[in-house]
Parts: sequence; C-alpha cells; structure tokens
Amino acid sequence: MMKHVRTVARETLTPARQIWAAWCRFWFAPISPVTLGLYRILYGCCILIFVALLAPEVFTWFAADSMMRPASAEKFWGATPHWSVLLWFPQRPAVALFFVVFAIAALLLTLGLWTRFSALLVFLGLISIGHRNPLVLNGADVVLRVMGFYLVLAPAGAALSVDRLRAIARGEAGPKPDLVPAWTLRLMQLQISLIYASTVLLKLKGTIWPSGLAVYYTLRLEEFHRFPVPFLAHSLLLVNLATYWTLAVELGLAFAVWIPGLRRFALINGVLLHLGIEYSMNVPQFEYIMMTNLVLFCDVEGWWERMRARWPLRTLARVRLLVDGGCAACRREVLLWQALDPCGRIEARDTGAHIEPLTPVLALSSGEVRTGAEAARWLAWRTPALWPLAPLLALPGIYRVLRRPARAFLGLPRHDAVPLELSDRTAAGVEREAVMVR
Amino acid sequence: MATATLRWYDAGTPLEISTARERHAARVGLPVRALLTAFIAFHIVAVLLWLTPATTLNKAFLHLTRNYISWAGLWQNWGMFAPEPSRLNIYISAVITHRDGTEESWEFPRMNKLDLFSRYYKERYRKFEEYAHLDSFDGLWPDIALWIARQHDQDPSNPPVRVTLTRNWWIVPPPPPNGDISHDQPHEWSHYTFFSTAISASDLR
Repeated sequence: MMKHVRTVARETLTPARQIWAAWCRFWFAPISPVTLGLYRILYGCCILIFVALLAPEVFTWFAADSMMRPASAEKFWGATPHWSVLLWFPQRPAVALFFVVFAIAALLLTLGLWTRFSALLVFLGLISIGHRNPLVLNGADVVLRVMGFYLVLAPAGAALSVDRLRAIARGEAGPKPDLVPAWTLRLMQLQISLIYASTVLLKLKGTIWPSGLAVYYTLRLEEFHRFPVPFLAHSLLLVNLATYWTLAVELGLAFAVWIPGLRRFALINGVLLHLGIEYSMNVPQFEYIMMTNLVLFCDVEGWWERMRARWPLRTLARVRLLVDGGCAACRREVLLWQALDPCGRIEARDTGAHIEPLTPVLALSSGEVRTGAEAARWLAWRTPALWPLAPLLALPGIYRVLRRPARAFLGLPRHDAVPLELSDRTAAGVEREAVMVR
Repeated sequence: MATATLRWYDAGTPLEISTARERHAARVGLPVRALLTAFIAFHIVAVLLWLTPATTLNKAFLHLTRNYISWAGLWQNWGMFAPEPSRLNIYISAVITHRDGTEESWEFPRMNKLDLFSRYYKERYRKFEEYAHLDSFDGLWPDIALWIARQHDQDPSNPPVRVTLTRNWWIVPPPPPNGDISHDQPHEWSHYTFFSTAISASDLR
C-alpha cells in the first residue's frame, strides 16, 4: 500500500523534482549517528597511535633545527597557500607543547567530549603537521587529515560519546541517539571511494600494474619487508593473481560498495586486502586507517541490533536496576546506564523507593543483590565503555570519592535521598516512603 | 535467604522510559538544503579537479578551487605504488669528519635491519629519504648534513667539520624471460656521493 502511494506520488512529480527528491534523499535523509560515533572512536585511536609513533622523533622532523628547517619548508611550499603553528613557533618547547595539546585533543575526540571543538583542534593540528614537514607523511597521514575535515562538520558526538551522556544527564537526549542528516557521512563515503578510484586510475595509466607484475616488485623492496610471503613472492602465477585482485578490490571499493547487494562482498575483500598488506609490508598505520574508513559504509546500529538478537548476546544474563520511577533524576540515571550498555542487559524496575543517583542497586537473575560501589564495579566490568575505569573502582573508597565529581560533571541534579538500605526491607516491602531524608 | 534475594529480582514493575524527546529525526529546511547543496557541489568539484590529471578542463578551473583545497587542508594524492610501483631499494649514508681527521659513518635507519616495533616509529626516515635523495630536493641537503653533524657533536674539543652524503641503491630487475622467480636474482649496491659540506662552529650552536 505504502509502496503504491509512493509510486503514485513519484509519478506525479516532474523529472526535475524527482531528481531533487532523490538528491535530498541521498544527502539529507535522517540516519543513525552510531556509524559516525564508532568511526570517531576508531579515528581518535588512530590519531593517538599516530602521536605515539611520532613522539620520539618530533624534534627530528618539526623543530627549528630539524632535518627540514622552517626556511626549507617555506621554500617547498613557495606560492602555495600554507600555514602551520609549527612554522610560527618552531622552538623545541613550543613543538613539545603543540604535540601535548594535540594528543589531549585526540583523547577528547576519542571519548567524544566537546567533540566538535576537539575535532577542530585535531584537524588544525594535522594541517600544521602537514604544512610543516610534508616529506615525512605517508598516505595514512593524508587520509587522517582529509577525514579530519569531515569530522569537524559531522555530528560525530551524537552517539557513543561523553557528550551524549551529558545530554542524557541534563534531560536533553532520549534513550536512543537522535537521527542526523546524512550529508557529512555521504561526503566521507564519497571521499573514500574517490581514494580507491583515483589510485586504480593512476595504476592503470602505468605499465607494471596492467602487466600483472606490481606485486613482484613491491615484495622485493627491502625497506617494506615485514613478514615473509615466499609462496606468493616466488610464483609468477600468484603474483599476477594478487596484482589483479588488488586492482579488482580497489575498483570494488570505489564503485561496487555503493550497490547494496555487492557492498558486503566489496568490504570483506577490502579488509582482506588491507590485512594482507599489513602482514607483508611495512607501511605503518595505513592499513588500519583504511580499514577504519570502511566502517563508514556499514549500518552499525542496524547490525548491532541484529547481533543482540542472536547467540551469544541474546543469552547474556539480564540485570535489573531498581529505581524510583517517579524520580526524574533516577530515570536519567537509568538512561545513562542503558546508554553505556551495548548488549541491552540492563532492565529498569520501578520500586517506588528513592535511590540516590549514581548509587545503583542491582538485582541479578542469580538472586544476588549489589548496591553502591559493588554494583558500580559489577556494571563497569560488563560495560566496554567503562573498562578503563573498572580496575580503578576496585580501590577501596574510590567510588565514594569519584561519585560526586562524576555527578557534577555529567550534570545530574542533586538529590537529598539516602541509599536504600536493603537489609531493612523485603521486596514486597519496598514502598514509596520514608527515604526522603536530609 | 535465597528466596528473599530472589524476591528482589522480581521487585517493582518494569520501567519503560519514554522521555518527552522521542527519537528525533533532524530535518533540514529548504534554505539550508540549498546552501548545503551549493557547498557539497563546490566541494566535490574542487576535490575532483585536484585529483584528476592535468587536462585542459582541469587547468581552466583549478585556479578557482586551489586556495580552498590548500587552506582547508584537503590537498591529497593517492598514488600509492602508482602509476608504477617503485623498483628502487635505496638508503642514504653519511661520513662525518671531525676536526682531528677521524671519520665516523652513519646511515638513515634501514627498516629491514630494525626490529618490528622500531620499524613503526622509524618509518618516517624511510619516507623522508624517498624525497631527500632526489636532486630536485637539493635544498634539503644542507639541513640534513647539519642535523647529522649535531648528532655527532659529542666532544667539544673535536667537533664535526665536514659531512658527506652518499646514496646507495639497487634496482629490482624485471622477472627473467622464462618467468622463473622462485629464486631472487643477485644484485649489487651502487654508490654515489651527492653532497659534501663544511660545518662551522657557528652551525653547531
């Protein structure tokens, strides 16, 4: 019926309006922000690794007395517009400070805290690095910089971010992240396809790739060796197959990835290609970054919903969070825990008893009841986003110390309630009474 | 006791939280759509012009978008082993001559001689060498020589006075006509000294 209505509606549109409607569907249709959120996390991790790998040599490449002094960088760019914080402040302390700030921005971006601002800082940092010494940057660094531009424009903090947790705590976000217009994701997808299309076209302009011998030469570049692949390097037939397969996969990631029926096939082959290169060749980070980019073509939220309905996630034991359903702050707390719970294990139960926020009371299906720090620890170990905090929560008293600043940081309203004393009550006796004390 | 705690699991009633804000789908109004459409079209054209080879069309319009690409940090080139993969195995070595005439040798870190971890963070040297050995980058050679001299300025009474740079290379030969690549063909390194400069005390300060 709906399809019929849509067909009739489409037939009544003029061709120009049909084109405009299709354009708007492609660029502006609302989509889940979870793909962008996951991409932001992986991208942030890539930037952190980028900084860690660069850290031992920052003065070699970027200081005033580096292998490419500022005057040489200026000469390299000539009349081409260029700017770099590292060209303005080339002294060693300034360079060190630059990279410290850059690393902090990358960490904030990974966490999704002040996301757009941290994305902007990271992007400006990458431009500065690129303009200061472009000769030490490989394709991976260029991908990071270019994709950084899109991340600044994208609502990358709308899902899987601390920004979202804070919005929930303030009552500004619902149980599921709001849908966002597709245009930034589409630009990123187009950019990735352009990378593959561009490299295939360039390769086909040469003579070695069309002749099927490219892999023969690349495997004999000593500086690129990582792990040996003797079966491949020493068989002309396999060399030919690997060369043509590489071209086919890159072509697939440029075009076939846009066809829903072929997308999965193109992406799986893309991952295999990058894993193969990562195994055999020393091109640090490039393969991981390109695999990260392939995430942009996946409906992460839809895929995860399907996974949750399947074994083994479907069989995970549920846990019940006991709250006072009449208390707005408690409901926000439930949303917070549920936002941190990708497996959907946390169910909320309205007990009518007032329980202090961030003092969870958990009832496990095994019959155990955990409260306060013990419950927070239990949840932290089962919530991937909180794994870094989980060992910390094992320290005695730390939960009590962190609870108040965490509540203030997230923006949860203050409560005058005291924690529920389980020993004083039975399940049947949990009533909406007597807990509102000063 | 078990009965009592199990009763906790069944305590209360299921709580489905629906906030005033249900899952909201951001709508983009017509004026914003028009603006975004103009930006998207301009951006795609700019990136395509940058990436496509120099043609008449490209030359005619690239100047309109070049500044946008440069300022926005979008310059890019995806010639990954393209149009031809490199056939060149190359590294740069240096000889540092000290005031007393003694000589030290140094070479750029060679990836195939490093452990797995070092290859990750030393790879930038290999990338830099890719350009630094070329004659078109001769402006870099004094910077490189000076940097090497500073690394070897350990004894104030015997500082470096000269640095000489040499490129060392061999070219991967094509597969033999019979197509048998089961054994790697023998190769010999070639060497060429391409730069030598005197280092003064003021350079080392």
